[in-house]
Amino acid sequence: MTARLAAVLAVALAALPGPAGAKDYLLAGAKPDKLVLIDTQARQVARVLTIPDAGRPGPLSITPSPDGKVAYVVVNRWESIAGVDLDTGKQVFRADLSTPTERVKAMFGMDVSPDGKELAVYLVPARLGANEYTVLDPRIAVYRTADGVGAEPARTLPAARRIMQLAWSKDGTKLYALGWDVQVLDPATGAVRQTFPVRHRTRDGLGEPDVLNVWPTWEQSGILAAPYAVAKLDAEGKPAAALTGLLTIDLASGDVAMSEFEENGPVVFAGVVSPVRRDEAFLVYTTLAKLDRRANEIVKRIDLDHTYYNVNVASDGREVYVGQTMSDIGVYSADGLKRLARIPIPGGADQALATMRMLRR
Amino acid sequence: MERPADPLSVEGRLSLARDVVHAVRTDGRRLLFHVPTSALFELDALAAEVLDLFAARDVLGPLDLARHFERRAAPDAVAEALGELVGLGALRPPGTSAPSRPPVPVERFPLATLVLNVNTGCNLSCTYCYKEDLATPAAGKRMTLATAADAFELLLREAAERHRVNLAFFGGEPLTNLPLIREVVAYAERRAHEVGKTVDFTLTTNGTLLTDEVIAWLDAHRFGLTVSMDGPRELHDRNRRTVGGGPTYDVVVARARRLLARYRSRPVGARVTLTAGVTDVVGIHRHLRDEIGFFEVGFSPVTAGDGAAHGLDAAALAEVFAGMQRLGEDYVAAALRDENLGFSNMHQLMTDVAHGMAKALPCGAGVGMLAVDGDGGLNLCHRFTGSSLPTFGTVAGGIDRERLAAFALAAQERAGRPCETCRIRHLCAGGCYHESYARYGDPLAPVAHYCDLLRAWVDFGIAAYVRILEGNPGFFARHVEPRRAPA
Amino acid sequence: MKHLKPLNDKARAIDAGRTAEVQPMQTVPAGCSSVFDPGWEVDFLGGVASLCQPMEADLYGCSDPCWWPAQVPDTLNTYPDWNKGADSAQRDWRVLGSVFPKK
Repeated sequence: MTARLAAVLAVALAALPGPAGAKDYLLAGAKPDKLVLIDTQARQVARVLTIPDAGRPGPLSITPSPDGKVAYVVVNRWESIAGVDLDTGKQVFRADLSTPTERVKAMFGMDVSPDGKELAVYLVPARLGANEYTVLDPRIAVYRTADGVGAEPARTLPAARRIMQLAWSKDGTKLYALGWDVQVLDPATGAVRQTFPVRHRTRDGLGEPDVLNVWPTWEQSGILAAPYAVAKLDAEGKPAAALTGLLTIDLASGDVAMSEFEENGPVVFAGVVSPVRRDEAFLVYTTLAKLDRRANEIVKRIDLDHTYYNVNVASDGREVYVGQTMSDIGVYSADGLKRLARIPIPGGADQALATMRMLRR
Repeated sequence: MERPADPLSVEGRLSLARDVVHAVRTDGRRLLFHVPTSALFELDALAAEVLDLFAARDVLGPLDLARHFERRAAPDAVAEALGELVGLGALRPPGTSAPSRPPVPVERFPLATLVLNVNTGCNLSCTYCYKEDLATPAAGKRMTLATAADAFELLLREAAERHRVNLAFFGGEPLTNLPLIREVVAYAERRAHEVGKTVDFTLTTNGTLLTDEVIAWLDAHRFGLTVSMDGPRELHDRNRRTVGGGPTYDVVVARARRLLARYRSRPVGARVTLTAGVTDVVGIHRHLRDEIGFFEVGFSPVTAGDGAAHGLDAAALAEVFAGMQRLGEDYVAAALRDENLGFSNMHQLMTDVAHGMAKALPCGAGVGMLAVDGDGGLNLCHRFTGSSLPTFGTVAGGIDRERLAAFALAAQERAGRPCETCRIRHLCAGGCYHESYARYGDPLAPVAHYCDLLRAWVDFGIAAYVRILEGNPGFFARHVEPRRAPA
Repeated sequence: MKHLKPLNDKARAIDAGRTAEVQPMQTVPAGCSSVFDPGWEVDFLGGVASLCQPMEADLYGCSDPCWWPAQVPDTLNTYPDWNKGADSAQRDWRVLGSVFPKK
């Protein structure tokens, strides 16, 4: 009874008009078809929405619209994009990607343009024959968000294989594609305007950098931060130590930088740059660490009680949120990395790979 | 292939490689069929003009080209088009020849299929049957389980890297030895499972011995079935007769209808032998597919020695191919409606053109497939069991690799033969060994009586392919590709 | 090629300069494919320090995209209901069953 009342109150409170300024919210996904909107100030779940026709196994990439009203989610075995109104729960956008002869999966790379009008999605298609599959070239489909349910791409751009992230530049004129290298694409044609080598970056004494980054965290600071690993080579060119570094793409200025900060440290999956102190970054996997980007060293690290894939940071830079994998979001102080709260996902469902995002509304 | 540094350089005289290029015109399009690879290209106006120039003159140099294209095309574009044609080997310096493809020595025999002649006996006596060892069912040579088991073990060994193997049952009439087939299927399924492979079964039958129980059993084991029927009653009964000389149409049709009504596991096809007087390809197809209900119909002009009464003389052969093309036109029209006309020969031709099939050998006989006779002897294929062509080993003793490798090498050797410059040499590759053997006494003799007709058939296929590609490109993935055997 | 338009598979292969038929795999699998990854038992260093903690934290993160096809069914394509009713790996792993080939 008490629990039920509390839940009803939480929903009622969330429905009240908020303070004049916009507030921080966390947006998480949970199995099999849930979007969870979390009021970080109240440290509570404000709303749980069921994504229509989401299928299984669970939501993948989540991209909030710039005005915080709609969440675009990859669902249905990665073969559909649903746009859910975060207030009404209605589906205001839907693109179903596959046809009877072509199986198309959306894989992580997805971003909405700064004016909210276009949604770019990285697609991996395969042609289905009766007894064989044919791998087709990947592509980026750009949708008009206004096309709503049944949307077809407004245009399709050719794309390189192995792209993990798509991020629109702040001014909407460029589309960054993080793959084996960082490519700067023309969002109208897909033409590659510039390439910054990442895996193909050669530096003396270092091996080939290894990036696996499928967790977008740039919405607060405008900086795409992707941890990477690279081997330090000895005199004979053999790997002698494993270095961890942070790759950053400044989506406003276009600066791309890679710098290593630690040798033989623990594995890091995701990173985020503080919106308030740009030389401060947080890194997560099984530990949570604070990185001083200017000094290039870890200034604080704690063990987490379980692995979290993703990390993000409050608009005022004072709190750090760790999420994904299991069924809770951890809240930590940015200052000393002290645990402040644990917000459980209602029903205890796992978030798995559903990307945790932040939005203001 | 070697490219000259600059096609328009002073030394860059070129001529058309007529043995590499086959130009096809269809529906106002200019196509280039690249003979060595079976790649098919459409030429734009400039490339077509370049090719026409070279076709008209033996040798052209840069000055000739410059003069011709002055004010008609940009030099860059001409150089580009030339470069692409030279890169394909379509144009080359005069006096040079295409890089020869050395014959591929066959050292391993990656068997996928074994055909077992389970009984040389047959309950029918079709006039045109090529089986040299045909007998009545009781008098036929029956294979023993021991031989069949040895054969299957040989297949499993030789197909070490394959996940699927195929066992085909042939004869005579294979259903006259159904007890053996049942035993072999049980054995093969057990052994295949033990070694982690899948075994598929196929069988060609005259249809007379199909009972409901047999049909159910074949269906349960997912047999790929083909029924030999030659068309409507008066055509079918012309040649397909009982031992006593009587007609068989009524019995066969009744059994075929029951088969088609009940069979679920795989589509059932009909196989037609065209002979003198049985050449109405379009009518036979309509009867067997539309009226009886076979999923697919395949046509085979009869294999006969010269002078056989049922043989197809030159006029009849021409009529057969004309009929095949008429049915082929219907096939294209159906394909444009996204319908599958079930014409096996055309499916095969479309597969070859769509894929760009370039073969060194005419078929898998002797390399991917062998046939086992009642004594356990290994033959090139089912047509050769019981023939006077020597065998290539035994199931007990193993494949005679030296002799079989020598045969495969000889089959590829085209120098001095008409095949050497033929534009369909990588599609026909010399033609059916048995056809050559029956006609000329030599399995490696080119099928001279078919050459012109096959070249025309391929040209027809190229034009048909392009029309389907233009009007309904999805057709190939939906209806043609599914026919390819799984690996 | 600018003046010759490829019309069949062979022509396309020539046009693409493709002699090999191998393409690099995408970043993560999307349905069962071969990934050379040691698996849940050991990390890339041969120990366990770099594995997700606890293992259940990673179960769905890795099985959803069928990262280790030998151990889990392909929920993206052929067995979409494998973890139905087992939304929390840590709590519900007992519900997860084996799958058997369909006849």
